[in-house]
Amino acid sequence: MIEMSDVLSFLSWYITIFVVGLVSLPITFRLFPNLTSKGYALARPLGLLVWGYFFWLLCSLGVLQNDTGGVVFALLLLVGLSIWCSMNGRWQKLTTWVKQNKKTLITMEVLFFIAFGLWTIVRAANPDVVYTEKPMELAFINAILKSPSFPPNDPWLSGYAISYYYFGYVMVSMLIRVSGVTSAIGFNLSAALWFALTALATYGIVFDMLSTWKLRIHSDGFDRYKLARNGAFLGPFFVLIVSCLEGLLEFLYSWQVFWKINSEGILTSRFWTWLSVSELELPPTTPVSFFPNRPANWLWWRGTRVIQDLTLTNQKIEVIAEFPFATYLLSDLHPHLLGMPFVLLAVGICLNLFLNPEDNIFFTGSIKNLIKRWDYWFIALTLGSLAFINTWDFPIYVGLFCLTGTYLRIRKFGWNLTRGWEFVKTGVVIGLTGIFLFLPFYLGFSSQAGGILPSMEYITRGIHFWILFGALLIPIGIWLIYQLIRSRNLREFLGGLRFAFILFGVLLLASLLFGVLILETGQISSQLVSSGKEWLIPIGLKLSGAYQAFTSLHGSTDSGLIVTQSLLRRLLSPGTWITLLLILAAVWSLLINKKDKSTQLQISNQNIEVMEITGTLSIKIFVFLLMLVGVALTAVPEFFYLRDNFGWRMNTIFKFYFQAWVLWGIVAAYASVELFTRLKGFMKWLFNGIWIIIILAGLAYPVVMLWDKTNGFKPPEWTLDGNAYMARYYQDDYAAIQWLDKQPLGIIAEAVGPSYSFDNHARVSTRTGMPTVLNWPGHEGQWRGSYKEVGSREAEIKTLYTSNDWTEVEGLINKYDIRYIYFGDLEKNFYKTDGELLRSNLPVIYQNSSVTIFEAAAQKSEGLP
Amino acid sequence: MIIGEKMKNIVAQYFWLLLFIALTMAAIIRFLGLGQLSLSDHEAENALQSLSMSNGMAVRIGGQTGYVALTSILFSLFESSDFLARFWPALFGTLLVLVPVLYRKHLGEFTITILAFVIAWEPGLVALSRTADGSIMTITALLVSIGFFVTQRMVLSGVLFGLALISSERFWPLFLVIGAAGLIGFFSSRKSEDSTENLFSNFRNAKWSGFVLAAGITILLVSSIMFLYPNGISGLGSSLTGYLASWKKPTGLEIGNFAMVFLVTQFPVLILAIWRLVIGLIERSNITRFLGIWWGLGLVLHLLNPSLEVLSIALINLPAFIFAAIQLVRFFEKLSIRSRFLAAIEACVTIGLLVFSIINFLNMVNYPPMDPTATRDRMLGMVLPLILWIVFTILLGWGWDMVSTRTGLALGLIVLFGYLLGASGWKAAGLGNKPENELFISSGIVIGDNVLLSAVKNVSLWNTGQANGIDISTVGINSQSITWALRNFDRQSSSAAFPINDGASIIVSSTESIFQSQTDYRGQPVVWSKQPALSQMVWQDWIKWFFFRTVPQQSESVLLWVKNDLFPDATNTLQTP
Repeated sequence: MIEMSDVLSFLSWYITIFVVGLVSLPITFRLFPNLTSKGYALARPLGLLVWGYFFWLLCSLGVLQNDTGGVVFALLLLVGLSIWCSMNGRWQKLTTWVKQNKKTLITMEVLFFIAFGLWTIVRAANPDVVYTEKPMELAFINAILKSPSFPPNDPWLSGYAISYYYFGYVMVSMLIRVSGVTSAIGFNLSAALWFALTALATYGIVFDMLSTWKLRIHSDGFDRYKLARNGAFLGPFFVLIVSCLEGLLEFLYSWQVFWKINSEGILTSRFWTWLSVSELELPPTTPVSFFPNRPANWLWWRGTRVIQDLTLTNQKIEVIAEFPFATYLLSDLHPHLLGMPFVLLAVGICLNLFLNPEDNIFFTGSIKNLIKRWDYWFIALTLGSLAFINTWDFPIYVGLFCLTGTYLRIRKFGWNLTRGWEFVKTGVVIGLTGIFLFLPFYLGFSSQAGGILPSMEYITRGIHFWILFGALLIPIGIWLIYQLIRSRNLREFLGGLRFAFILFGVLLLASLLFGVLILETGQISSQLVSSGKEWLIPIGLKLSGAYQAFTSLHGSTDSGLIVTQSLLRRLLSPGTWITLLLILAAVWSLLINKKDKSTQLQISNQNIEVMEITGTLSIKIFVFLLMLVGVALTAVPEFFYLRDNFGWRMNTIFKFYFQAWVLWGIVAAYASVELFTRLKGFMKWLFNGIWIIIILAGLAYPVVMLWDKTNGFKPPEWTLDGNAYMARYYQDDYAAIQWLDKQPLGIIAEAVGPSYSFDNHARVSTRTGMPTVLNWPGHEGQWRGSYKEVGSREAEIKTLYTSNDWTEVEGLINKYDIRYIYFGDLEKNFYKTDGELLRSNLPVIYQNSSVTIFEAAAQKSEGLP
Repeated sequence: MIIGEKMKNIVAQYFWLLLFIALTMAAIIRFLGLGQLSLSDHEAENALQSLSMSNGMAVRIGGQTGYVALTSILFSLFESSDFLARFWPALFGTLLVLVPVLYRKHLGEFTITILAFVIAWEPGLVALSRTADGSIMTITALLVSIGFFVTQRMVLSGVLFGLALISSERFWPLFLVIGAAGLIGFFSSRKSEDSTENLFSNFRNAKWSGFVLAAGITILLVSSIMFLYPNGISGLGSSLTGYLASWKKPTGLEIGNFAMVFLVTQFPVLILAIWRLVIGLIERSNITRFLGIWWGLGLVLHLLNPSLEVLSIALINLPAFIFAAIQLVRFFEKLSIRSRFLAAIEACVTIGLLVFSIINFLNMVNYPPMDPTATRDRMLGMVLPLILWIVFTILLGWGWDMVSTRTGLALGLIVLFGYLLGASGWKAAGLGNKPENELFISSGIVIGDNVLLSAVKNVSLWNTGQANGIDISTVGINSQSITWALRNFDRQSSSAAFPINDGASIIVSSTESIFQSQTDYRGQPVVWSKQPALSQMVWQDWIKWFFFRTVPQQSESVLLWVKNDLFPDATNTLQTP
C-alpha cells in the first residue's frame, strides 16, 4: 500500500493548508460578514491567493527571493494582515462565532479531510506525470522552483520567461517549498488538494445559500442549520462527482443495446449512428459484458470529447468538453483545474454582495471612495487573480459580480440606462484594478487570443449538449418548472420567451453578418494591401490573415453556402438552442417577477417550517443569476468564439462549458434540496424517482472511469511520486536527471520533440526545471501567439547533436549559452548519432550505462560564484 | 573582614570602571588577530554573500541577512578581508559584556560585574564572537531587546528585536526557549507574592505598536541595506526555514561527544551553575525558575536537533553563565578573613599541590609507565599531593583559624578556575599555538591558504606581471573557503569536470577528480583545512585536549595544478589579459 513517506507528505500538506486556512479566517470573517459561514470554507483559497500574491508580487519586484525564505516571509505578511483583521474586538467576535458554529465547522473539516484523503489515494493509484499536458505543468512548476527571480524561466524556451497564466503554478510551488516534498509528489498532492478545496468551497457556498432560509422553530434547542449542513453536501456532489451521461452510454454500448445484425452479418445501429459520438458509432468488437470493457487506449477520454463540430464537408473537429470529475480524474494541473477554488471564491464574493443589498458603494460610489474600502481591494484581487490563473474566467466572474450588483440596483430603483452605466462602470473599474494589481504579469505576457470570430456552421447538437449537461439540467429543469408553476404567471413567462427569442435572433443575425463581413474581407484586404498607403497595408494584411484562417477552416469561400448551412444546421439540430432558449425564458420571467411571495411549508416529520420573509430578497434570485450566467456561457459559443491558434471553437467551448458546469452544479444542488424539502405526496415520489435515475446515470462515468484509470486500483506501485514510472522504466534517465537536478542552474540541450511526445521528449527540462533550448515547439507557438521566438531552434539542436563540425557546434553552444548537453538513448536514436564529436571535445560530468552528460561551459564567476 | 562586603563596596565605587576593564578585555580577546585565520567554509558562505552584495551582484541571501547586510557595508567601504568579515560578530560579542547592565535591577551590580568578566572570557562566547556569522549578533541583540522591553523602552526593544530576528537562524531556538520560559514564568508569577522578581510583569501593559513598528522598520532597512538590496528581506523567512531545515540535516556529531565537549569546555561554570540552580529552586526564586527552564529547554531543544554542533554550547549555556555569576557572588558574600597570612598560605598550598598532582596525572596519561614501580611512583605523585592538601587544610583550620583557611582554600580554587577560564578563552580565540585543535569551530580551520595563494600568486606574477591576473579554475570542488581565498582573482571559474581541451592556467581540484591531461600540468597536494576528529577520540584524548590541546585530527586536501609552460624554466609565457 501507500508508503509512510507519502503519508507524511500528505500530512505535511494537510497541516500547511490547515494553517493557511486558520490564519486567513479573520480575513474572511471581515470580508464575508453576510455569509452564515463567514467564508470559513473559502478561507483556504483566499489564504493561498493572498499569500501567493504577496510572494509573487514581491518576487517580481525583486523584494523577495524566490526561495523558501521568500515564501515564509510572504506567509508572515499574511499573518500580519490576519492580525490586523482581528483587531478592535473582532478576535473576540470570531472566537464566539467559532464556538457557536462548531458543528458546521467540524462538518466542513471532515469533508475537506475526506476529500483530500480520498483523492490522494486516487492519485497514488495513477500518479505518473506523463502524457497529455502533465509534463508541461510539471515543467512549469520545476521552472518556477528553479528560477532565481520572477518572471520564471520558460523551461522549454531558454532565454525567455514563461508566457502563460502561471499563478496557479506559483501557488503549487509555494506549497512544495514549505512542505519540503519533491515536485513530482507535490504535483499529485496538488491535484488532491485542489479537489478538496473545490469540494469545501462548493459546500460552503451551497451551505450559505441554504442557511438563508428562515426557519420558524417550534421546539427548543433545534439545530437551525442542520438542513443547510446536510443539503450542502449536494454542492460538491453535483460539481465534482456527478458527470456527463457518456458513462451510461458506455454501459449501453457494452450491453450492445440498439445494435442489430444486418443481412450481411454486420452490426448496425441507427441510434448510435444518429448519436454520432466518436468510437461509440463503430460496431462493438467485444462480446456483451455488464461492465464497459471496449478496447480503447483511454476509455475515460471519450466523455470529454462528446461534442464535435462538423465542417461543411462533415469532417469532425475535436472539441474539448471537460467537466470537473474528468478534469480531476485526468489530474492535469491545468489552469481550469487550478482556478476552480478561486472561481468559487469569486462566487462567494458575489453571494456576500447579494446578501447585503444596502451596500451599494461598489455601484454608486466614486472611485475615490471605492479605493478607500479595504474589501474593494480584496474583491479586485480575487477577480484579478482569475486572469492570472485561468484568463478565461476573469471576464466571466467580473460579469457575475456586476450582474449581481446591478440586479440589486434594478430591484430597488427600477431599470433605466443608469443601471447599464453602473454595470459597465463597475466592471471596467474593478477589472482595471484587477489588472493593475497583477501588472507585472501582463508586462511579460503575450496572449494567443486573436479576436472574436462568428460561429457559423459550428453548433452544438442538442443530444450532445444533453449528454454533457443532462445530469444537471434535469433537476434544474424540474425546479424551474416548479418555480414557474408557483409563480402562476404565464404572461411573464411568455414575456421571457419573447425576450429570449429576440436575444437569440439578434445574436444569430450578428453572427451571420459578422461572418459574411469576414468572407467579404478577401477583396477588401487585397485592395488595402494594394492601395500603397503604408498605414493601410498592415490592416490589409491582418484582414487577409483573418480571412484566410476563416475560409480555410470552413473549407469554402462561398458566403451563401456557409450562411445557408449555418441556418440549416440550427434548424435540423435545434436541441441546444431550444433548451437554452427555454431556460433563459424561464429564468428571465422569474427574475423580473417582482412579487416575492412569502411562503410557509411544513417539512415532513420535522417540527419546523421553512419560510421566506417578504421584503427580503430570496436567495433564489441569486440562484437565477448563476443560472443566467451559465446560459450565457453555453449560448455564446453557438454564435461567437474566441480566435486562438487552433482556429475553431475548441477552447471556447472547453473554458465556457466548464464554468457553466460549476455554476449549474451549484444551482442543481440548491434546486435538489429545495425540491426535496418542498414537494409532497406523489410529486415528491416522482421527483425522487427521476432524481435517482438521472443521478445513477450521472454516476456511471465516475464509477467506470475511476476503475479504468486506476486499473481497478491495482497500480504497479502505490506512490505519490509522479516520476516513479521513470525509475521503473527509464532507470538510467531517472538516475541522470536526479543527478543533474542537484547541479547549478544552467541551460540544457536535449532532443526536441513534438507536443505530447510519447517518446518522453523534454524529460530532462521537465524534471529539473532547467531551461532547454526548445521543446514542445507547438505549445511554445500557442503560448506566444506566433513561432517567431521558436525560430530555427529545432533544427539547430539537431545540428548540435549530428554535426561533424566542432566549430559549428561550439557556435551553437555559445549562441544559446548551453551549459549541459544531455545525451541519452532518446538523443542517440532520435538523431541517429553516437555523440563522438561531443565526447571528444567536451568533458563528461556524468555517465551511466546509457546516459552521458557533457558540461559545455564552466560557470563564469566574474570573481565570485 | 567580610570579603563579600568589601568587594561589594569596591564594585559600587568602581562599577563602571570594572565594566570598562571587562569590556576592554573582551575587546582585546575578540579583536586580537581577528583576521589571522582565513575564513572557514561555514564563514565563507556568509562572507561571500556580503561580498556579492557589495559588488552589486545578484546573490541569494540565506538566513543571516542582518550579518550579511552589515558586513557588505564594510566590504563596500573598505576592501574585503577576513578581519572585516568577522568585525560585526566581534563587536557584538564585545558589547555582550555590557548587556547585563540592563538587568541591574534584577541581578545587582556585583553579579553583573562578575558576569561581565565571565562573558568576556567564556571560551564558547569568545569563539562565537570570532566566527563570521550572525549568531553572536542575534544573542546580543535579543538579550538587549529583552532588557529594553523589561524597562519599557519599546522602540529600542523593537529595533534590537528586529536585528536579532534577521541576524541568524539561531534566533529561533533562542527565542523559543526564552519565550517558553518567559510564558511559564509569566503565568506562574501571578501566584507568587514576590512580584519584584517578575521579569515579565510588563508584558500586558506593553506598547506593542511601537515595538512592532520599530522591529518592522529595522528588518526592512537593515535586511535590504536601505532598500538597495530589497531581496534581502527574504532573509527573515530564510532564517526560519533554515532553522526548520536544520532538523533534517544531521551534522554527525554524536551526543556522547557533544556531552564530553560540554563537560571539558564548561567545567568550572557548570559546577557553579548547577549549584546555584539547586539552591535557587529550594529558595523558590522566580529568576532561578525562569533561568532554569530556559537552560533546560535550550539543552533539550539542541540535543534533539540532529544538526547539533559544538558552537551551540555557548547559546545553550547563557543562563548557566548567569547562574555561575550569582553563585560566585553568594560565595564571596560568605567569605571573611581574620588572618590574611593564613589565607594566603592556604591559597598557595592549594594551588601548588593541585598543580603538582595534575602534572603527575598528565604525565601518566601522556607517557603511560611501562613497569609497576614507575606506575606506583606516578600514582603516588598524583594522589599524595591531594592527600597532603586535604590534611594540610584540615590541620590549618583546626589548629589556627577555620574561617581564614576556608577563605584561602576558596581563593586558591578561584585563582585556578580563573586561570583555566582565561586560558580557555584565549585558546578558543585561536590565539594559542594550535588553533586547528580547538573544539569551538564551526568547520575546518583553513591552514593551506598561505601555501596555495603564494604558489598561485607567484605563477601569476611570473606570467602576467600581476598577482591576481592569471586565470584559475576550481574543478569538482564545492568549497566556499577556497572560493573566498581566491576572491581577488579576476578570472575565476568553476566546473564539475576537467576540461578536455583548453583548461585554465591554474586548476584547483579535489583529490577525487580524474585528470586526463596530467602531462600538461604539474601538480601538488595542499592540506587545505584541519579540524578535530571528535568521533576518533578516546577518554585519554579528552584529558590531553583539556591540558595540552592535542587531539586526533581530520584534514581536507586539494590538488593544485599549474600548466607546465607557466613555470620559469618553460619557454612560453602567457599574455597579460
